[in-house]
Amino acid sequence: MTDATVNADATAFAGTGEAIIKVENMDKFFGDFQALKNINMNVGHKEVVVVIGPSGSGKSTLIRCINRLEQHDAGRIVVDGIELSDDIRNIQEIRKETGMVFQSFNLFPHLSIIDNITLAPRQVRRMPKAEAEELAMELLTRVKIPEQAQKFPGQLSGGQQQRVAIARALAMRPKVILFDEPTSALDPEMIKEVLDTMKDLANEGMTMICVTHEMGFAREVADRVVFMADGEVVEVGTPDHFFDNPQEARTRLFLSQIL
Amino acid sequence: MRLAIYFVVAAVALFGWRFLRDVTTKRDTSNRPPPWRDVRVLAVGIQVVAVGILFLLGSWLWDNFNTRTDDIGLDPFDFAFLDQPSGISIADSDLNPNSPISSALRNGVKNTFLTIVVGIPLSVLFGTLIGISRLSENWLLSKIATGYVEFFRNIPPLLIIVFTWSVFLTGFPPERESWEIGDLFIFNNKRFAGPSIASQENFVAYRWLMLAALALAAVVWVVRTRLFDRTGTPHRRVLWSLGTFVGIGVIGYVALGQPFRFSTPDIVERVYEGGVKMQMPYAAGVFALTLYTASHIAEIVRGSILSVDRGQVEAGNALALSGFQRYRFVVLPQAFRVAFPPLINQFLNFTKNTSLFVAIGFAEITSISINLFGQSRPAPQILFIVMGIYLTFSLVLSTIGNLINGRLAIAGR
Repeated sequence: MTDATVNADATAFAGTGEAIIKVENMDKFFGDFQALKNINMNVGHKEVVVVIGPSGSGKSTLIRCINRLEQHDAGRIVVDGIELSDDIRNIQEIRKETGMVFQSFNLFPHLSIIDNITLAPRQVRRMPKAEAEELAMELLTRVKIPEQAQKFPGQLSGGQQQRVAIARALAMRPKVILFDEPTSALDPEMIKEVLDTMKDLANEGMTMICVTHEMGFAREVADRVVFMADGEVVEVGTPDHFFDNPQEARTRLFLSQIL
Repeated sequence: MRLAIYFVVAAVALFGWRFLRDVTTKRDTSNRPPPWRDVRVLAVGIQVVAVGILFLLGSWLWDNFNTRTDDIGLDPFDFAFLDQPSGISIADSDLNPNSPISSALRNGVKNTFLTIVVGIPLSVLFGTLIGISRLSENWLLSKIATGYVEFFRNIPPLLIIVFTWSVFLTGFPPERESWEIGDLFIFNNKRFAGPSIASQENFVAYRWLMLAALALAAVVWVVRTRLFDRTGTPHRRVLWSLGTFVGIGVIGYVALGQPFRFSTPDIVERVYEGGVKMQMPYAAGVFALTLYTASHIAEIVRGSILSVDRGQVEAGNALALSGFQRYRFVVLPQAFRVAFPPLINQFLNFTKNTSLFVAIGFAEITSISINLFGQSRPAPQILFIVMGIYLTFSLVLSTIGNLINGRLAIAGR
């Protein structure tokens, strides 16, 4: 990775074959405010991309555009060969392939943990109840809280809730998972359990885009780090390049403030 | 004088209570404030005073009431008059002026009940649709819904009822020139009539059979659902249950030798024969009150949907739930919990507002009691009874509502 200029190209991805997510020349406006400026980014199979940057830099907006929680205004987004357009069928197909984990968990408070997890597989994938529950228990075991299956979200700690949210996203068997600041709403002692779950996922070969402020996680797990500021990709690189040898002044300023 | 005695009794009781509490709890009394600054004494004292005032006011009113009824020689607890002839006739009932008052009141209860069981579900259905429409992204739909709500919720219900009634009265033709749709429906400004089922031989047995068929259909529904849950075989439970029900219905119809026939309404010499009929004031009243109540329910529904966190919708979207699934499984179950307590209020309001039908001459309980006053029947007793009836309706409704509400509560919140 050589000198990156402002609005860097993040299209070079780790791994081989076709990129699973392609973002080309994407713009996003909120009213008159341009939140994303001509973003170009690809994500490869089994790649872990960590997006960092100051608040208001457009990192969350970027991943929320990928599964159409926000509508992009210009450019193309292609997920697993499906172009994100106004076609509701394409939108649904892409949403089936991309799980999402939110900062505020967004578990369904009126459903038990197991029902939270089985809802989408049963309704969207038409999976029989018994099979869906088996899958849910398997996933809960993977995030290490199988004993909480019959409880309700309000009875769990923040860290447990976020792990349930990860299990819920996994239950759809997505090809990609988008993490939108998954640890920002957690008490410090619960951050680790969630990050550990995410690390396990990464090691198992899940394709992930993580918006996070956890630099330790970025350094340890990321294949690529994307630094954004003011709606632009400022610098892209491997964690080593990024943390030890950043090229852009804006990146150095940001790192000096948080490290 | 009496007041002073009450005061002394209350003060003595209060001090006695504090003394007893000190003795029984062996609390340290050395460092205690004087009673007029002791927060525990004050808390109890305020309640004692409040109850005392309420009691004094009640006994004053009761004395007044008794003095007046004594003056006019009325025993307010004599209910023997209920067996006397009512002196009033009630449309579409078997009652005549010679029927006892108790029967007339019972008929009023029945009519009030009929307005509630039809009107409340209609209000909920219509109000929910309007409420959801107001949130629609469709500009026209949302503006129409807003206009509807603002119009109806800002007009007194009595006005809506009388207006609707007068529109029905002038809009529908007189009885001689009734509109008829095929042989099935009759509309005029006195009554509306439609087709119904008339019993023939073996009808009672057939009714039991169909009840059993309904239960069996429910069982089939559950069995098919369970099978689907276990193995994933498509459940097609609507088809299966309906098939069971209709199948038994047809077989039973043949086996029991045509236990019923369809009956169509007809007017012969000003008398309605066959079918079911309703009085125009009933239709107008229920229609008007439904419009009014629906405007309130729409606002409750809208507010409660808005109260569901946006993140819930986003989570549903991210999981690829369809718009309908998102509403059905995520938004509405949560919105409904918020909506339910104020909805119970609207049910109670609907019930009480049916008393306004007195203005359009529908014989519900209030208009019957007012008619009875006109026959010089004792007002206090009748008012007691009518108040008791409304209270019963309301308490039953709110008890059912509270039971449901309790079951809806979210665990861990």
